[in-house]
Amino acid sequence: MKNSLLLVVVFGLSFLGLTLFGSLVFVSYINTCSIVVGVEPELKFADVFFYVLIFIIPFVVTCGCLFMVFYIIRHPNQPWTTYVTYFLICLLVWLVIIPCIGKLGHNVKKENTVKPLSSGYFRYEDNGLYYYTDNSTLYINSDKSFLRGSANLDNRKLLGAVKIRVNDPIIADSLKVHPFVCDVADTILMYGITARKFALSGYVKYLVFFTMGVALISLVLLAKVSAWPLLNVGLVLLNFGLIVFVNIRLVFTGALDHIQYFLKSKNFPLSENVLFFPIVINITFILLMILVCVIGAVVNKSHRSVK
Amino acid sequence: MKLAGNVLVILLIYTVLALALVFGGIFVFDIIKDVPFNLMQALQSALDWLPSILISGLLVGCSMAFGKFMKDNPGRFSALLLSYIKVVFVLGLCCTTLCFFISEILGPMINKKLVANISLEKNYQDYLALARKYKNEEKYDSAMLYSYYALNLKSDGEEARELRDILDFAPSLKIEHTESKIGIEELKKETTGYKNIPELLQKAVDSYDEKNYFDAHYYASMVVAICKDNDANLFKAKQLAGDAWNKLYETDYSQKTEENLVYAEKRRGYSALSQGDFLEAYYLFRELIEKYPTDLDIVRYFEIAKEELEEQYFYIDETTDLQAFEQYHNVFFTVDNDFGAKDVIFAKGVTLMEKAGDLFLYLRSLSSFSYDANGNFVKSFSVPYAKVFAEPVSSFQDSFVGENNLELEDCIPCFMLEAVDRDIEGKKIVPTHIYGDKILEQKETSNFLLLPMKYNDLILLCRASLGAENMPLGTLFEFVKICKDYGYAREVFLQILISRLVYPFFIMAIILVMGIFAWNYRLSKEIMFKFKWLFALPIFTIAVFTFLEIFDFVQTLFIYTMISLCGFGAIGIIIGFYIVFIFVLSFIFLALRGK
Repeated sequence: MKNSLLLVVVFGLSFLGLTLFGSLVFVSYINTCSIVVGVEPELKFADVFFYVLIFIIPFVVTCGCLFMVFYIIRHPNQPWTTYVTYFLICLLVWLVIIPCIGKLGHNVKKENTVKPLSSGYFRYEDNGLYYYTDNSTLYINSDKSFLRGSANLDNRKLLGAVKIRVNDPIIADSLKVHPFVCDVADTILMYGITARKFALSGYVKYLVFFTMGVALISLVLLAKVSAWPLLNVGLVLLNFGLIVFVNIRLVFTGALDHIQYFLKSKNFPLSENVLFFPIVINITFILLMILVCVIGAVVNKSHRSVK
Repeated sequence: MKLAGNVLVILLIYTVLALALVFGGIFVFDIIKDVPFNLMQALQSALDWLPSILISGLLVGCSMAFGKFMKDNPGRFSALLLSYIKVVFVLGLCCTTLCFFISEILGPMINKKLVANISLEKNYQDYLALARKYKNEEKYDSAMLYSYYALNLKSDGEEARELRDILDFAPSLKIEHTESKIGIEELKKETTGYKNIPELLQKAVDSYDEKNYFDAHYYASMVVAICKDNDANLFKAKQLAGDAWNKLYETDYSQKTEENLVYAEKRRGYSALSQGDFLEAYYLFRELIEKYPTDLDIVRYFEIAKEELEEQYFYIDETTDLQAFEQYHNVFFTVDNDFGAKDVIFAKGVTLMEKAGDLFLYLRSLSSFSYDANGNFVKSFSVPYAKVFAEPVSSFQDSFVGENNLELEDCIPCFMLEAVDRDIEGKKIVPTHIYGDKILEQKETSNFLLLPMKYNDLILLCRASLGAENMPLGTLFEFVKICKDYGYAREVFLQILISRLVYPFFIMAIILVMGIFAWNYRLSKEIMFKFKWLFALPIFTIAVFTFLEIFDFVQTLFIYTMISLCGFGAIGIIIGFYIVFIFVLSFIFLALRGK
């Protein structure tokens, strides 16, 4: 009973900690993106906090489940009640919290205000240097040409905002990250959007999203694969990343649609069903984890018997 | 000690293997892509990964060693944990120092080298195109010059033969330059040695008595120039200068003897010199000195004309070989102008030269764009090269000093815009002006550009062209204070400064987190490390790399928010936060339990 309670505490603490951290990061992100250099910043914390909370909670609760797996790896000799508690919390997360939060977020809209750029600063963009005054634009191409134009700041702001997400292109450079990490960050951002999209599409369609949940819940199978706990943590992390990435970036985005069309044209059984790919891919993940778990158990047992 | 040795061995082996893997991977990738292996680029990629490799190596090493040296089940704040945290701290500090060294010294060095290689190739292609263009347009002087530049950058390029052909067959641009060596230094001393009025006046009188009317007029004119209105010597000097001048024109030239002709030429040159036409005087005396190198008058006045000319112009040949030695590229800034707004200054390349203790800058492809207070374009100019030197503020009017917030001990940059040929008269490079207003077009343009800014700020702006990431930390700190005045975003430079300052704290904090992780997920004492586990180790490096990048990004966001909230105070707050965070992590580590 104590172990089960501790698991709940781990989930609760990680949920609180990650929510606080995640919302601070997200609020900072929104504020950083709205910075226009040389202009007094309008910091928004209270305005965007609720929006941010709705947006990040699906990913935060999923990470909460992951932290429970880490707890089980840290304390491997758990009674069966711990595992039951783990499954109950996971089901609560996947069948209650995520859909409810998604629906709650339906009415929350964030106004994306785009501010005009400030004059009197150099800005690098499109392989050239721009300098804006209140009435004209100077474009300095590093090769040779100097062009003077009359493009004003109000027209420019839209281009900047659409292209690089941030209000002021000067900031964009310092927010550049490694492409791989950019993919990771994009996946985390898309996680909340996808969860909300499925939650709003009704319970039947939500099952498509839930297939990923089942695969993620199954990560607990890897908790005792090897005798080295750190390796188990690594494997769980790797699989968590893979499952989320494949589902969010490929399965739920329609990137595999053409394969489904191809299978449909070949009259492949069940290929016309919307659940086809989510189920096939996530069941493959689960089967692989079961396989790894079984192999790990057999190898560990044989080592113990040798000893 | 044993624990530290154990972790260090694992860390070293893992680092070497991982780096070999990174290098090998890049090598194979280059072969597949059919591009030559670039050692510098490979080194840069390896260094990008090194912090992740070191931290994951430490994580793996600690996880393996922590269990091995554990005697019994240690409690919170036990001696064992204290010894473990010492090891984590010592090794962590070593890794942090290495990472800091890489990010602050080695990384920028490699980056600079890579950028230099890229710009070298780009400049070579530019020069090649220009050489071909001018050759086709039959402008051989320019074609030769650009061929010379291109060959200077890359003498073994595919197009080298074509360029050499241009150099060989185009008419010669340069005329052999001979310089009279006779007693120039002594004469220089003589002309500049007399500082006080009586001495100069006496010299003028002596010269007049010796019938050396050039010198008599010259010294008398000097006295006139430096005398105050109420000086008793002024009248005498004026009288002497007038008499000497008259004597100079008394000579009869009806007989066309060589002596007469030389005298006439000398007088023409001297006349040009005294009227301030130093350019004409210089070329006249230059021609004369080649024919009559022992004529002391000619040598003396050539030297004077040269000195005066060099105060107004620089020589084209000073800039011939400069581009290969450029330290800075694409230097730009804004500065207050007379229209109540800003001038935008842009130079494609800058070379710093030290001559006789003075620091000169040569700015290639300098352009200036002026705007008025409403932001409308007023005028612009561009020039292939400008020479910049420091001019003490004290030599300007007090109003100039006050209006521009300068102090008397400061120096301002003075841009010399026109260049002349050392040998050929009439070959002069001048700025090209464009005006937004017809009225302005009629105004005379100056050979000089004086900017109301500190000379040291200009040097800082040149250094800023390396990018905030590549500037030395001290320079960046100085630059953050002034960058806003010159059109740079203070927020961005301050953010990069803080990120660089807290980088060691950031790495140390991550290492402590990894230490906690390693303790929690340590390998049990009874279990031997298995060879097959080695293959799983890259997972940790990739994971650490991802975490480092994500947290670096998150840190950037927090820093921007702090800058928005507290401005410069963000430096102290972020550093303070990290110090507290490291203390908290150490406390958490010590508070860990065995089971």
